[in-house]
Amino acid sequence: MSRTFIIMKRELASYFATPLAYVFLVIFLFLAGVFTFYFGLFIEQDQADLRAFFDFHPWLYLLLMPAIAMRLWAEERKTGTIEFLMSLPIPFGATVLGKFLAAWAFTAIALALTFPIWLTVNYLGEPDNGIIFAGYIGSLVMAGGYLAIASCVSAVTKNQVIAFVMGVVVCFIFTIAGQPLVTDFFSSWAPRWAVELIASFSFLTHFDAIIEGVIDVRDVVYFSTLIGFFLYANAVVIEFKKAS
Amino acid sequence: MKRGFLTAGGLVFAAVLFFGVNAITGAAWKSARFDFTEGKLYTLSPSTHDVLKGLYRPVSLRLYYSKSMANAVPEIRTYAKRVKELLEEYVAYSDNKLSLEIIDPEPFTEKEDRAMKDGVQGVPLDETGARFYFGLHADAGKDAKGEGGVADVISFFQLGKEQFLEYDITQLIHGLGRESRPIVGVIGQLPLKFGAVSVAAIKRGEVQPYAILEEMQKFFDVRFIEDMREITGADILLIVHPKELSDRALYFIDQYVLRGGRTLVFVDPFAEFGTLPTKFGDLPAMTDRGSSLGRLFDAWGIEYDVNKFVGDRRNAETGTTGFEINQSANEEVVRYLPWFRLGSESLNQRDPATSGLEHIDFATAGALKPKSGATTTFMPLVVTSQDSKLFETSELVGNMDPEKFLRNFEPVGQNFVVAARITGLVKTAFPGGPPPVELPKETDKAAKEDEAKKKPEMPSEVEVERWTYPPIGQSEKPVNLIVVADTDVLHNSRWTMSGDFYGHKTFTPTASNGEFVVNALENLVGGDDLISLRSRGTSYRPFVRLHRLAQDAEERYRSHAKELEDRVQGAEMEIKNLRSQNIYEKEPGKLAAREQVIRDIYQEMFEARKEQRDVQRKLREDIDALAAKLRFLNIGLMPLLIGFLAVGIGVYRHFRHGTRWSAEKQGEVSPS
Repeated sequence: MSRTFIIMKRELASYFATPLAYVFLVIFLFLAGVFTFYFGLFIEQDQADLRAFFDFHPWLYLLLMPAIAMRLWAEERKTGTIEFLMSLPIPFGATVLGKFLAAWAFTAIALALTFPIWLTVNYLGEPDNGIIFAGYIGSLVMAGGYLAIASCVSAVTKNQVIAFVMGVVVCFIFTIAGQPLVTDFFSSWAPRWAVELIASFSFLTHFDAIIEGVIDVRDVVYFSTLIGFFLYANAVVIEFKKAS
Repeated sequence: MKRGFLTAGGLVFAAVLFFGVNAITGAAWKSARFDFTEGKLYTLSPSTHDVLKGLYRPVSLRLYYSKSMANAVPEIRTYAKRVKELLEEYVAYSDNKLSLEIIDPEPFTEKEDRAMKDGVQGVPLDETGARFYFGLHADAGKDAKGEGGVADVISFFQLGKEQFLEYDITQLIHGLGRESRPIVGVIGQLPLKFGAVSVAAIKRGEVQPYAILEEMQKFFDVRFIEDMREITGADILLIVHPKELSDRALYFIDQYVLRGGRTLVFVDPFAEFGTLPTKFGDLPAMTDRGSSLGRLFDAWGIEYDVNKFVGDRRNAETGTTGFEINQSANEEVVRYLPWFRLGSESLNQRDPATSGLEHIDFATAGALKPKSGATTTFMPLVVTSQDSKLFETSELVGNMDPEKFLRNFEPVGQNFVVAARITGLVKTAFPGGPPPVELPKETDKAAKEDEAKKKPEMPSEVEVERWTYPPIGQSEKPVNLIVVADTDVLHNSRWTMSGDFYGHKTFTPTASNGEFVVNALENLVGGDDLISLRSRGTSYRPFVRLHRLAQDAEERYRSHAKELEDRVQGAEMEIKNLRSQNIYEKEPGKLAAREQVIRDIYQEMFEARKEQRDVQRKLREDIDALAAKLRFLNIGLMPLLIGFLAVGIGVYRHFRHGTRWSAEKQGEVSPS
């Protein structure tokens, strides 16, 4: 575990070694604010909750998480440092997990910096802070899901741009699985249970329940198994690439 | 991690595991959740679980919600989501006995027709004629035994009743899921079945049943108890105007209550309506119109003086509203203190029996209060205002002059309780055991024969013991009673307006009296499950600070805005008047003068309107300024700070790097 932590620290420090991390934070906070106030009509809704804020997180993450994760493995492979990394006396799993945790911690920092919106909603009204707490937990867990997918995709290619685009596509599929766009397509020919199963794999379905203030065991199982599966797939992809 | 696991086969296995685990948990783990909401909004209470467990037959729920129209009303949208999720929670817990269908009755579609057929109320949101639906229809289909086929509806989920949402839904399901309609046993002297008519009139079929009876019969099997033995078969007891009840009858009621029987009691210090005529056809003496449960009230911890009634000046009805009042022949509109209408501020909003009701109309109601040293909890349900006073019922005898009560009226500054809920453990009112059997008096032979025909032969002591089970001295579990100190509250004239529809008498409610009685009975009959259902928090939380700002601004500009509005209206009226004066049109000179006057008025009106717009704009100014500040703080401040931080770190690194670099060049430090 300590080795995982070492990798994580090294990765996290590397984010802040370049202006990229600050640029990312600025973009994330700016977009989150704009979406909340201008598209989510936070003031006009006259509701002391952070629904307008959380509602746009899946769409923000859809673009920003692949952007964070695209360099995780693609850069290592492009610069060849992956060989060096593999030669270190660190278990392979710890490397995969450490890199993922670093990206996740970076996202957590970004999310924590949105605290003015929490202060704002408490200033304007009397919100249910339990629901807001659940919303933040849900948002962080969902970000982990996006990052795990994007991290796995990043291992497939050396090109960061391709890693980003592929990451967005795969994340998009997982985002909209429960939307009519997808369910309507399947419901015309697939059995009802299959359609429901597909819909149950949507990020939106699970996240919507969490931001209402309820964390269901099914949501926890979903996000944790999803993260677990994609990190495992990430390791398999690197193993394959290394072998080839 | 051993790399031997990192194979294509392993990946396929992991994928299968991922889908499998989620499919299984999705199906099996439907109710394991952590509810972070303040009032545990999404967690069903144990009482609801018990109701769902005890469901006798399947119940289908149809939630009608005009989703497409809900965008215009954000608070309803939030509430609707809560209703939907709560219903889904019900279904998840119901062990497949409940099913839920969500229907969006779009305007002018078959779905809308279905909503109307199911009794869901459509509310027009705008002038297009489209109606907004938000109600729940539930029906219990016939089961294998052919029982069921009943339906009920919550016609519209009112926002104000959100804290009773779970209660209302559970009550609906409970009502449909039970095997049969609950039996309400009625005891007392109020002629609910026939109205206050003579025996001869009853024989002629000229009966006028109380409208409240019809209301009760929609939900309950109402049985009038002729023989006290029958009370053991009642699910709930309704005691109305209990005059001249024998000790033996009181004993039966006492034992019924001690054994957990639910009871709704209506007593009255002065029953103005519904008093039966004597056998000679006269109305009973004015001094003999009160009723009480005497020693039972003592045992239940209630203090009630049958000789006193409440007068409430603030809520008193005005005008000459009844025949008694007319006796004063007073043409002026005056307040009649003994009759009052108590609105929502007087009704306990935390109790399901009275919450959400508009107002209840009373007439010469009595006052209840907890007895000192009582073992029960006394919870007021209906109270008068503090502008009230107690009067002696003897003051009602003879002259019912409204001014008589107003004269020298000095409020005591106390709210009097007109209806209360009594809960807790009680002891019997008959500690010495059952009173002896009372046999009909021998004095009047004809009466005795009549009694003998009407009643079964009086039983022996041993038989009485057998009817009521062995007497108990103390309640086994907390009793639950609702006591109302007025019987006139049940009379048609206090809460309905009667009409005639093709020879059929109709009653239109004008007050919530009927709803109150049915609510109270439903609540009591629901047993412990419904009674212990707690009220929940609300999910609508407005921005109170913004509302306060708007209110402050409105306060500041109200008088000016009113003046402007009056000016605009006055100008409009003046123009209308001038235009309607056709006489001017015949004289060209006057016509031109009139047009000039109209133009001047228009000018004045436009100016007033402009000022009105300015005032409106000013009303929003504070809010807009605050909103702009908050937007900046949330959108711009953090990115700016991080930007500055990044620049600062960059500059620091640059200089640090530069210093180090120059030091290295001069050989002061060795390169790392």
